[in-house]
Amino acid sequence: MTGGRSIRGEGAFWLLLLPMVAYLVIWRILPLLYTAWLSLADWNIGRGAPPRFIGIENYLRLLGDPRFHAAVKVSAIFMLVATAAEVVLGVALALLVNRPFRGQTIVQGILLVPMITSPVAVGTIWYILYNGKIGPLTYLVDRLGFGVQDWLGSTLTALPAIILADVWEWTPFVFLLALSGLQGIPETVVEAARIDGASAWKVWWYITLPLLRGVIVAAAILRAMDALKIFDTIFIMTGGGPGRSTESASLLVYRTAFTHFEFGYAAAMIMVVLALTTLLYWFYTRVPQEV
Amino acid sequence: MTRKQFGTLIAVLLVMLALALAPGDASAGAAPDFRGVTLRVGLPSGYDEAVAFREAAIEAATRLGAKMEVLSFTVDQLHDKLLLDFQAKNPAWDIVFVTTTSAAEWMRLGLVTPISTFMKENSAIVDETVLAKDDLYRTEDFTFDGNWVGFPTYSTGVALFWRTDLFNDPTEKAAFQKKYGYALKPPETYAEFRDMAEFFTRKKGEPLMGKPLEADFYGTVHSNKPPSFLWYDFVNYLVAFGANDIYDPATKRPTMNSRAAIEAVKYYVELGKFQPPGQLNMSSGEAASLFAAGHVAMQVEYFQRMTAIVLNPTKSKVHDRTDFTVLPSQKGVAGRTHAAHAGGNAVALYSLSKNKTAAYKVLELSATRELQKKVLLEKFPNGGWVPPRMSLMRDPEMQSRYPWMKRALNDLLLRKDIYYFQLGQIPEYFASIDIVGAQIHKALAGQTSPEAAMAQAQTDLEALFKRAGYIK
Repeated sequence: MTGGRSIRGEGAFWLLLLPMVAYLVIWRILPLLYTAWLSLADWNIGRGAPPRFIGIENYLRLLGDPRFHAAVKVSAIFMLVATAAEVVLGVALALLVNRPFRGQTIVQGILLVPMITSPVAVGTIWYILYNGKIGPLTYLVDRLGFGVQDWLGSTLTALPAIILADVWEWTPFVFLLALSGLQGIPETVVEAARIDGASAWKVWWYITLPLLRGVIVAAAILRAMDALKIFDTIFIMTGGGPGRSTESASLLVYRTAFTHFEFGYAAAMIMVVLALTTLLYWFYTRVPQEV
Repeated sequence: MTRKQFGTLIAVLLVMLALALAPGDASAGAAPDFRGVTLRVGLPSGYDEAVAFREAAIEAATRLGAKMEVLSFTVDQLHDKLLLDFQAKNPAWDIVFVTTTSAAEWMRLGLVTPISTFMKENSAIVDETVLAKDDLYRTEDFTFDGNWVGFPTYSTGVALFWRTDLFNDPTEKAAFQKKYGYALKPPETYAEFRDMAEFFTRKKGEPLMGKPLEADFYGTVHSNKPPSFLWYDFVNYLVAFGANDIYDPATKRPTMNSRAAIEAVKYYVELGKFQPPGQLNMSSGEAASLFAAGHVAMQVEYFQRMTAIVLNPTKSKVHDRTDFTVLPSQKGVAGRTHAAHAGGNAVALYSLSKNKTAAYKVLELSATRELQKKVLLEKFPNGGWVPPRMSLMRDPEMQSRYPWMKRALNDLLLRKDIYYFQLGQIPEYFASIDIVGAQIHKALAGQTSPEAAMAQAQTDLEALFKRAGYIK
C-alpha cells in the first residue's frame, strides 16, 4: 500500500463530499451572500421597482433606528434571562434525576416532551394558560387572591410570561446535555471524595461542577444562540405587544420584510443579528470540550 | 415482433392520436370546453368567503371540464407569496384573492388583469346575462382608475351587535334611566355607546337582569391584537370621529396627529375599561366567541363574522337574544353618519396566468346566482357567509332560511345614511397600520398617552411617506 490516497481514492472522496458541499453552497452560502448584497440595496417589492444599490445607507439607518435598538434589547434580555433560567433548572433537574429510582426512564422521557413540541404549539398552549377567561394559570392566581391578571396585556408581565413559556420548552434541552455530562463523570472520583469526608455540597462545588463546566457553558451558548432568534412564540402569544414591548429582532425583521416590504433594510437587520450570533458562536468554539 | 404486428401497432397508435386530436362534440355548441386545464388559486384559511368561493369555483370548473387546485395560506402569507411570485415572473397562479387594501396596489403593479380589461379584449366569451354585474355587491370598491379589478366574494361591512334581553329588561332599563338620564336603547351616538358599555360592565356576583353574575360581564369587546385586528376595529372609530384613514388622500400627507384622530384614540383607549382582560391580544374570532358565550353586551364587528359565530345557533348561546344595527355616529361630525368599513374581498385574474380564458369563465360562472345559492344552502346552513349577490339577499326563500338576511339587506346594505368607506389604497398601507397600530396598542396598555402615541405615529409615518416619495 502507498502512504497517501490514490488518485482514484481522492476522486471518490470528493464525489462523496459533493452532496454536502452542494447543499452548503446552495442553501447556506449563496443565500448568505445574496442577503449581504441585498443589505446594500434599497428594494421595496410593493413598489415594483428592482433593487437599487445604496451602499451602507441601510446600516446607517439602523444606527439611528430606535425601533431596531429596542428590538435587539428585547432579544438580548430574552436571551440572557431565558438562558440563565434554563441552565439553572436544567442542571438541577439533571442532578435530581441522575440517581437510580423507579420509573427513571419514564420520568426522563416525560421531561423531554416540551422540547419536541413545535414552538407554535408551545405559544398556543401558553396563550391559553394565560387567558383571562379560560386560562388555568390565571384562575389559579385569582383563587390565591391576587385577582385576574392580564399576563400578556401588561408591559410588566408580557415578556416574563413569554420567557416562562420558553423556559418550559427548552429546559429539557439543557437537562439532556447536563444529564449526559453527569453520566460521563467517573464515579470513582466522587466516591473517593466522599470517602475522604467531602459533604454533598463540596462534592458538587469542587468536583461535579468543574467537570460539568464545559457542558454547562456549551449548553448555555447553544441556547443563547437560539434564544436570540426567538420568533414563533412571541408571534403567537403577543404579536410583539403590548405596544412593542415584546417585539424581538426576528419579529421586526419579519415585519420589515413582509409588512413594510423593505427587503433591503430587513437584510441589513439580518446581517447585524447574524454578526451577534456569530460572536456567540465564537465563544462557543472557545469552550473546552473535555468533561 | 413481425412486420405485420409492427404495422398493426402503428395503425392503432395513429387511430388513437387521431381521436385525441379530433374536435369535441359538435352538439355542445358554443359551450366552452376546458378539458385538461387545471386552474390554481391561493385562498386565505379561516375566511368563510374563501370557503364559499372554493366550493363555487370547483363546481364551476367541473361544469366547464377544468380542474381547480386550491392552496391555503394565512392571509398575510398569501399576500406576500403572490407579490413574490409576481416579482419572480412566476406564472403559477390563475386566480388570485385580493383584499380591499391590496386591490389598487396590485392593479397598478400589474399583478392582476382587471376583469373589465379582459372583458373588453375578449367580449365574445363574456356572458353579460350570466355576469349580471349590477347585481354584485359594491363593485365600485374594486374599481380603480375606471378598471374593475375582481369579483366580490361577500357582502356587508361592519355592524353593531347587541343583546336584546339586556336592553329590553325592565330592571336594567330603569337603572340606566336613573343613572344616565335617558332611555336604554341601541346606541345612536358614541357617547351613548360609552355609557352603555360602562353600565353593563359588572363584576362576578353583581346583579344582571336581577340575577347575580357567575362571572365578570363586559360592556363591549374588541379584537386588539396588533396590528391588523386592532386596526380593523379601530378604523371605524377613526373615520366616525372625522379623521382621515392614515393620510389625506388629496395631499398624501399623514394626519394621525389631527385633533379628530387623537380624540378617536382617546375614546378607544377609554373603552378598554369595559372590556375583558386579554383584549389586547385577542383576534376577532376570540372576541366574537366571548360574545357568543354570553359575556358581552355589545360588539362592533364585521357582520359576516358574526353570522358565523354569534348568530349561529350551533355555536352561540345568545343567538336568539342578539340583534344588530348600524354603528353609532359621533356628534358634531358631518358627513360621517354611522361610518363603517364596507368590508369585502375579491377574486381576480392573475396577470401572468396562462389560462385566463378558463379562469375568467370559472369566475363568471362561480359568481352566478344559481351557484352561490347552492353553496350557501349546502355549505352554510347556519350562516357564516353573506353572498355578494343582491338578488339572493332579496330571495324570499333565503330570507326565510336565514332570519337575519332581510334585515341585513334593508338595514345595512340598502340604507342610504350609512357612510361606508374603504381602506387606504397605497402600497404602504400595511406598513402604516403596523406603525399606528403599535402606538395605539401602547396607549391601550397604558404605556403612553394617546397624544404622545399619535405624535410618535405621525413622526414615523412622515418618515415612511418621505421614503415612499409622497411628501418631501
